[in-house]
Amino acid sequence: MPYKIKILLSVFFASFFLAGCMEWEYGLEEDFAASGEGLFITNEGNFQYGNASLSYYDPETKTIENEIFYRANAMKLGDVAQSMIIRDGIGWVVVNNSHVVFAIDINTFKEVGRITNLTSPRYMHFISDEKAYITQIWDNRIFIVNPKRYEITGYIDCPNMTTESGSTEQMVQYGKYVFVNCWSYQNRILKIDTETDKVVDELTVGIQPTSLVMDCNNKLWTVTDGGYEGSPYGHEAPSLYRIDAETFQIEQQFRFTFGDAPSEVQLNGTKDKIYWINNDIWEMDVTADYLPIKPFLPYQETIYYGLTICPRTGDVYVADAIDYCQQGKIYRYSKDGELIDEFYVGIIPGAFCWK
Amino acid sequence: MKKLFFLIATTFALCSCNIDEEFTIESPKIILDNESGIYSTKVGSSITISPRYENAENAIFTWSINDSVIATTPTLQFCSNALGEFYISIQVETEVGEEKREIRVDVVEVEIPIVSLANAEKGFVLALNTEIKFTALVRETSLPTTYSWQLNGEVVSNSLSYTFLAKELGDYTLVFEAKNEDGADKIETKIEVVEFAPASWYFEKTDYQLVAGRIIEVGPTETQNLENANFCYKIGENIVQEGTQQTWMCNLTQVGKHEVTVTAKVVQGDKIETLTQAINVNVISSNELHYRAKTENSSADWNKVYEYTPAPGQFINELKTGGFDGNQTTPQAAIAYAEARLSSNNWVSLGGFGGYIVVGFDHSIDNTGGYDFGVLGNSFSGSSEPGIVWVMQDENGDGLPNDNWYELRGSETGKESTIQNYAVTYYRPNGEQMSVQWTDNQGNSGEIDYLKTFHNQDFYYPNWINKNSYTLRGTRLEARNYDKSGNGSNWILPEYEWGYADNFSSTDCTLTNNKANRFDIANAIDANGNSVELDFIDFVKVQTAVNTKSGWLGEVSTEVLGFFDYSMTKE
Repeated sequence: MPYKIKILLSVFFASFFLAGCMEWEYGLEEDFAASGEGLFITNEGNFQYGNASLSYYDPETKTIENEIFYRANAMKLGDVAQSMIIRDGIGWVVVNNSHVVFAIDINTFKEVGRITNLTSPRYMHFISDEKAYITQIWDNRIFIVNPKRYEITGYIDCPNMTTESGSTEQMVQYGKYVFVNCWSYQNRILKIDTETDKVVDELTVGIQPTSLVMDCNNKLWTVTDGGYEGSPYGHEAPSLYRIDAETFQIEQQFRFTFGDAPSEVQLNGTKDKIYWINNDIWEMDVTADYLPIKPFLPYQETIYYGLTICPRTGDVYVADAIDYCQQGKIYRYSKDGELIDEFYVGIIPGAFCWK
Repeated sequence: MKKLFFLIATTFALCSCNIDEEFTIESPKIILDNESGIYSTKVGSSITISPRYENAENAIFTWSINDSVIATTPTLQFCSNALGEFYISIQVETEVGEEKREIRVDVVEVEIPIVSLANAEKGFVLALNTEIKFTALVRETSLPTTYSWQLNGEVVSNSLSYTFLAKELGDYTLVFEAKNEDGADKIETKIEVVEFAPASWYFEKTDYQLVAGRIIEVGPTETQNLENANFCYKIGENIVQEGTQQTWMCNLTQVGKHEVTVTAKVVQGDKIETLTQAINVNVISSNELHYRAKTENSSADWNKVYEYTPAPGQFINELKTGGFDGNQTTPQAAIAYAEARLSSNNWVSLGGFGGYIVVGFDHSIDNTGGYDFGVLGNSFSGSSEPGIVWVMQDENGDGLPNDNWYELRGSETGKESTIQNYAVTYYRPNGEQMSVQWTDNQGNSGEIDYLKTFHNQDFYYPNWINKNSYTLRGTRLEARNYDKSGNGSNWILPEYEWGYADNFSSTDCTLTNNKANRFDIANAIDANGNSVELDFIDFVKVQTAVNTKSGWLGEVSTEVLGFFDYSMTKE
């Protein structure tokens, strides 16, 4: 992905102090009552610009509400909204460069709590009501938190990582084990025993596994991006891996063409199809023996940046970062690839969370 | 998968084992010789697709495109003179079953290397017993490529570089060739070895304007082989300066037009070479300046972009993140692009060293005694890409930035590592997707790297610059970028103390926005480095201040997002 980092992570900011007319700077708390099904979209915003935002889409009415965190709380979400998960009516919004996870009511969007003093949080995973893991980048520890008390309660040390090369990302759980992919300048999947909070095993895959899911057959799927030209960590043809969660062994490696940069492995609701971005949007049965050669959705000369599948309808939602500066766009397709809706959200929409 | 079961008895008659066994004869299976199922070949070149088959005795093979059969053999020879993606199915059928797979053949352009050589068109003139190092630029391909330099037909080097020693007088032909299995490209240049290299100079302008009481630098912008020349500046018969100093810090005070003659004499062996150039200096009174007062309708923001001339860079002509649309093929279109970007609070990249933008306001900006105007950038801690800021008064009142630029002093001004009148010449590459070569006026050369993975527009050289090379001038700061990781992965671009655009300064960033640097007109300096008193200014120029790159991040380039009259802000 490396566009010049400065541009990729930064840019666009509203009319600064000349403008006292920032759209949401009225400092009033707006009341929401978003009952029913819906889709949250975390918009990263530009690194160090504090313009991350949260959007909410109602698939039934095809309505989008942007900046819902600010509007509901009269407070900015922060810098680089990375991901979100929901547990028992509470949404946990991970705001990477604000070092915080906000807990919000998923119907009113109002803050109900926050976990602070995180290094550089990326994703959150619940082990129980009173224990969750939060992965980090530029930190070789996974933080253990008590969500009920919004407290950091401990750390999981990740082997063979320095603070600078530390990178833990997405988590999936199989039995008492949590698996986590290590992406930035890494090439491993870690296996963590949730009873001891220790890394008990690791599996080497290709360079930079970007994402991690587990299908209906308890197979883990990760896709590597292969690094990039000139990377000191190397550059290779990326691969999609199917890993058996029980044995923690690679069952199959599907190799892409050198120069490809796939990312964002996602599952449909029945967890029998995986999707990913590799310029185009791709779809494959989890039992397939080889990679598809025709994309599900062809590349549109833009920047596909996020992907999710509606667990109920199978609709495919694609986030378009456009140019990393202007408001991003979401395209909603049917499971047959027909465009159903499109709408603008915040800057750099990167992750989704189904209510 | 279809399966049939047969009891085979006779086949194992010779088997030492007496136990009858049950065997399965399975359907045929296709194992592609390319795991992804996606093949690639060059246009006009044949590719052989040779799957391995199992259970395919006496099979029927059918290769087809859109249900049209193209082959019935186990392997496929495929060739196309058209570019594109071809979906081909292979079906294998036996009496017990069949299997079908679809493959894709991408027919792509051939990868003939393309070569460039800075200044090849112009040729080179060298003095006897001097040397010159040539470095060719070759478009990267995926194929092994060989190089050769031929001097008058004789191979003298097989690397990318060749150093020519001017040992004998005469004319030489130098050819560089790059070759791979797809083809070859070569470039030729002429070298003339003379006893004494000819002296020459270049004047960017010969008509100057000066406000009485100030100082401007007049004289040649570039010189060749005039290092030891005697320069004489005269007004009429009156010598105003004579010596080896090439330019004259003109401090005329008498209002009116002055005709200046500059002569350079250089001794070469027993010859004296003389160059002469007339220069006009129009001195105007400071009372004639055209101040434009603010009105109630005045805007704090910039109101016009007058020029946008970036150096080559990864965001120049870029269609996705750069915001270009391919129609920026004239300077006017480039200006329109920059205005549209700034109007939407979007960044405009100035590319590598020297790239610049010139903006104006709907009123004169006063020298208030404190910070007077601000420039928005996109710096943050560890990511500063400084730009030198210049200011200009509309001295002649024509509304155009055609007067004198004054640099604003910054924390690096006057340091030994800071180079004024630094110049870099950029050379258009001969083909798409190539780096851009540059040379500077200090004898250095290098490249703005082409970063195919991240920004794959055809050219990083601005599409609206018609010349095959162009020179950008300004003040150069010493680069501070470094790789913190030690392995090239984590580049840091530290900030400078104060006085630069797009710089994460703890001193001059605004109180409410650390992306905006503030500037004080009182820091204006003339070419001598002395303060110049400007009561107001009308135009602002920002120029990329460093000539460096940060590994995989590419060239360091100043970005600007806006300009504003600080006195009109709320701060």
